[in-house]
Amino acid sequence: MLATTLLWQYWLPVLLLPLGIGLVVAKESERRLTGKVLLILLTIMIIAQPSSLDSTIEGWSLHLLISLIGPIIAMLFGIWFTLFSGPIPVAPLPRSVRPFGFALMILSAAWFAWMVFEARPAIDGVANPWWQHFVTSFLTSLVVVAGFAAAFALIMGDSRLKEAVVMALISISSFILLIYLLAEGTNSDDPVFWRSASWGALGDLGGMLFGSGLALMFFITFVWFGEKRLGVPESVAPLSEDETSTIREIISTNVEVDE
Amino acid sequence: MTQDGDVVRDWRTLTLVVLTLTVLIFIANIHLEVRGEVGDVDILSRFTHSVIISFIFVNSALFLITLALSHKHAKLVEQALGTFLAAVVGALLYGLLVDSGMTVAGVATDVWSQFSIGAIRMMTADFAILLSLGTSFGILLTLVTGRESPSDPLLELETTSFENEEE
Repeated sequence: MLATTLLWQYWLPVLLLPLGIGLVVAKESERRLTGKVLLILLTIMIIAQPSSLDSTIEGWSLHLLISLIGPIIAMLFGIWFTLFSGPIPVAPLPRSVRPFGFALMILSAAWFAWMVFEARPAIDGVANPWWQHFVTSFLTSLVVVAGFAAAFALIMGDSRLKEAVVMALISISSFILLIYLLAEGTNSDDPVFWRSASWGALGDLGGMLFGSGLALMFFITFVWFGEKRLGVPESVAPLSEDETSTIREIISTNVEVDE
Repeated sequence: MTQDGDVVRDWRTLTLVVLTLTVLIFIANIHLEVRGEVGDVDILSRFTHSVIISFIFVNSALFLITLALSHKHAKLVEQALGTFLAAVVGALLYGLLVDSGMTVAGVATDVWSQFSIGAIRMMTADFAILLSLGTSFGILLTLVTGRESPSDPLLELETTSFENEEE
């Protein structure tokens, strides 16, 4: 059964998250401020959960998020340092930072691999139940996305063979890692569990693709209905003499020439 | 670089690459499942639950974003009402599905337990997809912007003085 604290401090913030994001990207400054306040409040509500993370399945999902903060931050900073220390004119960092950025990216990958093979996230010896689902989903989508990126760089880019090869290597490495997990497992988990997780993740990912696509098609239909109801806009009346002279004045001020 | 007229062919090739990779992953999973033991995973139930839950998720998110972005000049009635009703219909359909006995194995068979576990599964998979997208395209961006290219010759040109020209 649903506990009241979980309703208020997990499911409600999850439900209201799109509202907060929508408000943050709005044009009006008041809405943006409201959105930021709402997002901060939602974060506080989730953090302030009274129950321990290992007591509920919802808590374990938060534990998964916390466990991955290290590799994610290493990857983000790695990308940031490498990107802005390259030959770009926008906010450049010193060139000497670039190898450090690559090192952070490698550290992130190594950290993740270490978690997969040696240190599955756990609390007091109890393993996180979402870990295998996350790893198999991540590797499956990484195979597809990195493969797409490799093909994209090769087909759409101008002499981007080196970049395509690197992305293809990431895709192939992810595929090999996934197959290894399914065939051999890890120290903490038998391959049977990895196979079950991967098989289930394929069902989930396929369903998500289909369900989300269907929802987007519905959304496009609703927008089309709305646009259709608006009808053709009425023709605009020509400018009056006053308006014409005002516009002429503005144009001549800006181009600084006499008409 | 390809020509402008090849856009359709290029995207067809990219789609083919994605489809091939997806099929490869399926084949690898099926091969390994046949070769060794596998737990009781009813993939059809997982797929069906995933379809309806993600349908509810996307419609609810679009409804809330529509509300957040609405203003007096925007005609968003169809958009807001449509997404809300679609989410409600999705929820009702999900309840009917679970009540009819199509449940995911390993979870209590009441509607809320089935929904909450499915929803967390979806969010975990969403998180994994976001991470893979960020990692792949982040690395690709660093590689693409790392190439030295000659400076734009237009930057070396001086601006023309119209006054001097008139003289």
